[in-house]
Amino acid sequence: MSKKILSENFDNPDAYKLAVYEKLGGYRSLEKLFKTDPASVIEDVKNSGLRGRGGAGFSAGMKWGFVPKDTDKPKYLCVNADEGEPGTFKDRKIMVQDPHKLIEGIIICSYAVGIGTAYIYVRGEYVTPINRLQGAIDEAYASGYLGKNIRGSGFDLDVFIHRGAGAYICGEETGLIESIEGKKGQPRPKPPFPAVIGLFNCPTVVNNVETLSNLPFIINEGWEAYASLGTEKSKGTMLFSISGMVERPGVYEQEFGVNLWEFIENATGGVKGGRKLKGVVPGGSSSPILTAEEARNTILDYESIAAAGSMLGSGAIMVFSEDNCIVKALQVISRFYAHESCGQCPPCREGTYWIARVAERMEEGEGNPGDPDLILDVCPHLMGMTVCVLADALAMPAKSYVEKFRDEFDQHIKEKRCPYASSAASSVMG
Amino acid sequence: MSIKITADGKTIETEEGRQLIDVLNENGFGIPHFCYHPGLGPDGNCRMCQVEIITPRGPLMTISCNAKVTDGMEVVTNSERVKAARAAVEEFLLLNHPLDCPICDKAGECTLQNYYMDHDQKDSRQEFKRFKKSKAIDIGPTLILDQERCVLCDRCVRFLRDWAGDEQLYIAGRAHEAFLTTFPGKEVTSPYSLNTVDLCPVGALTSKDFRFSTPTWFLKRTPSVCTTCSRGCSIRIDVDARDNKVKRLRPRHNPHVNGYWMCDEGRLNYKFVNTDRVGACVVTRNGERIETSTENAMAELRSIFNAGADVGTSEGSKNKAEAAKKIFVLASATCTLEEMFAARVLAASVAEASPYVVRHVPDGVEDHLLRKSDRHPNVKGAELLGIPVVDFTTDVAAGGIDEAVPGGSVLLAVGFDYEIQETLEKFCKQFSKIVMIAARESNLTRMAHVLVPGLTFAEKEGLIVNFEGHIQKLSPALDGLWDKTPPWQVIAEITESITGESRFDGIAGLRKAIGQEAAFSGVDLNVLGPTGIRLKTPNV
Repeated sequence: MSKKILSENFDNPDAYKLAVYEKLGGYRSLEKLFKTDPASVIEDVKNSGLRGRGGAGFSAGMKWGFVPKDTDKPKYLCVNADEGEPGTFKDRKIMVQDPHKLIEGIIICSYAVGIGTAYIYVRGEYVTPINRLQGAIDEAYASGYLGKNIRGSGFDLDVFIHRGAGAYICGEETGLIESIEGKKGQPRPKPPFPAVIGLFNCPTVVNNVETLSNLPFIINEGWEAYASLGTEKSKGTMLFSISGMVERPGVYEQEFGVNLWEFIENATGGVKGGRKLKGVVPGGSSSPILTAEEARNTILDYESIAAAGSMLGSGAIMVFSEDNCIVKALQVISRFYAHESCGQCPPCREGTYWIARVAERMEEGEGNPGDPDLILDVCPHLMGMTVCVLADALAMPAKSYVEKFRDEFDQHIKEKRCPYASSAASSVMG
Repeated sequence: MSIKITADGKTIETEEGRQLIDVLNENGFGIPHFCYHPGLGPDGNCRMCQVEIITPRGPLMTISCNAKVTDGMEVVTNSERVKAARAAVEEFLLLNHPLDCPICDKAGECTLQNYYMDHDQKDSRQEFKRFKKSKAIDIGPTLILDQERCVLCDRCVRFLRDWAGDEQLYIAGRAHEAFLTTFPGKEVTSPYSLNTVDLCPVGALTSKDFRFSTPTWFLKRTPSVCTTCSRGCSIRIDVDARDNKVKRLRPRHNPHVNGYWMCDEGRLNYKFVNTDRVGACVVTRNGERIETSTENAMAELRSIFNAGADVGTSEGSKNKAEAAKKIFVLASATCTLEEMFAARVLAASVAEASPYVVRHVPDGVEDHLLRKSDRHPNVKGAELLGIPVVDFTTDVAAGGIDEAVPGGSVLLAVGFDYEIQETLEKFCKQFSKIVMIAARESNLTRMAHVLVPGLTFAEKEGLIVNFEGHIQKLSPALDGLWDKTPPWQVIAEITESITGESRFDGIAGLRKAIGQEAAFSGVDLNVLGPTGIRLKTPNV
């Protein structure tokens, strides 16, 4: 069993209540925190090796370090709870089961960086998480964990929930900022980065829910305890949302460094109904697929999965069995990204739509023999060419689907039908 | 700080902190772009301006609009990777672009069309039905919107919101369904709305005024100056080479005066050029207006001004001198510096008096952007020439002229082409004879005893000085039709016929004479450059 940092309270159905959370040791990090110099908190988080869990995996402590120290402007924290990547549902679990852990993390981050206001941007469809979170915020205010002079420390912090309106792109950090400002959620060109010019043109930290939820452990147990977990560059544990053709889908915490497929098999009981494994998407719908063989031979950490040609992303693992159709999967994700593109950049706006139409045509049995090559030809023009990485988020998996499962695409075109059409489980994602 | 960068191996000296795209384009690299505009800054959405910057980790593709130059920066603008990226953006934009170039007003000056020739030139790989959006939507008094031509560069949105302060357009929806539109139930009513048509890289926003009037390749473009108000925005006059008519005015970049823009009122203020024109010299005899030759009209002028005097006798000379003293000169504040100066020379040398420059167009709206309430282009010019400016825009009788007009006086009125108020008409009625140089018919021209055709701003050469003391040159855009003697020369010939002396050696000589005025000292008025010259503050 893996060390539990994030999911330690998931088994307690009442952990979302302040009194229970306190009994479980919640908020005890604050006493130590307020005695520590903010700059050394940032150092501790840097040293812990904690990386952002929103998808990019960038060092959290370094991100905080980019915020200018000598500024007259207010600083903001935006908590990214706009969990929209298909296959990802681990932040929801934290917000529903253990919302005070997130609030505790928010306090730690805000204290370290000198932030007085935090906005939690929650995916609009997450009604239960929003209600749980608001309840927890209200409790925290009532008990002096939020508001003025928190627990007599002299530190002030206000936390607000901002409910999203149903756009995946608002999970991109600058799209999120625009949305909080009341504008259409469209990513901003970078530079400048949010750490310098962010929310309301002020220095801003944008962190994912899971990232922040690691902080109480780091303060309580020390950065060395966190850094002792995991591998050389992938420290600690991570929450994995496992879905698709497995016996027990769900959210599982795992320390980095184990075998990818063994972890999935042990956690979920393996491929559903004893079917054959076809492939594994390791980091959400935007990550390239790993073949069954690759999945069995890859270590679960950022570097190994990158070396295998994919990425760990948000830790959303999707398992494909032998009767899942890859062309259908491409149709589903391309339709998703074509729908969710904000529409600013031509390569994304037009490219995702083009790929979606070609994928649909192939899945419907109307594909042309040149279609797989067309996709391979178009994908590179979507990668690294746009304001944000939404176009890459389709191009990367699309390219991997065609390259690794070319036969399936050719079969669709040759037979003018989907060979999996009769299978009830033809798609993992749709 | 001066720094050096290299682009495709060429060293460029520039200033630190500037936008890379500006530096490259000023040095002839022709970086393609849709969304960037130097007057609006970067937005970064179109992805067309990508170049490679050489970094320690290798070449990095980046948009040159959002990059600032740094010392030693190494840029590649012509690699295969850059070319492929441009071709890809062009292909993406054309995927669902309608194929209506033959009926599109923008054809011929369309960025998308031009870049296809520069960067793509491939057959379309679009095998699907093009995604349809709405066409020919009336979105206000000046604009028509075609949503499916739009490349969503956001320039119009940013211009109206960030520059004009009128947030009246936005991009609704998202992904391929995103479309440019107005806010529900609202129109685009900004007084600067038509700049969006210039900004639009394609034919999504077209001008109701110019729409379907001329294929752009028939347009002949002449740099000139707007004469609608005292701002004097630099413009281009676009004339249809087929019918020699002005079809539109567009702003011309002038960092000292108007930046990249102009107001709609000025832009649409060209139609009078084509209406109610005085086509030939007219002489009134026994209440009847008779068209006549220039020679006859000039003879008539001489006889009026010389009062039939015989120059050979002493009696005749005396009569002539008496008559000359009764000459009264009014010039519109829309006249050029040359016309005003010639009028001043006439009044001084013949009547030993000063002419008056007349404000006759009522004040208009003024704002903090470009529009000035004074709707005359050259009041400042009159002031600099020391000519008293009188105001006939209000009810004040005689416009503030307190000098008594002697009985039997002759009026020479120059340049009153539009917006002539009743007070001015009344004032003119006290003269025994009226001689006019006017481009257009009006109540005043109908009172004239001799009428000589004048020229509008679109036909004449001349200088005007804006309210800040910035001198710019009008250039004749229409050719052939208006081979009339320019008004300044008519005035000079009248002077010559009375005094017997030739005063100026052509327009260059006239400008030289103006240059000797204190206000213009140190300025060669014959060499102004395309953006004009700002007079030094003490002079102004």
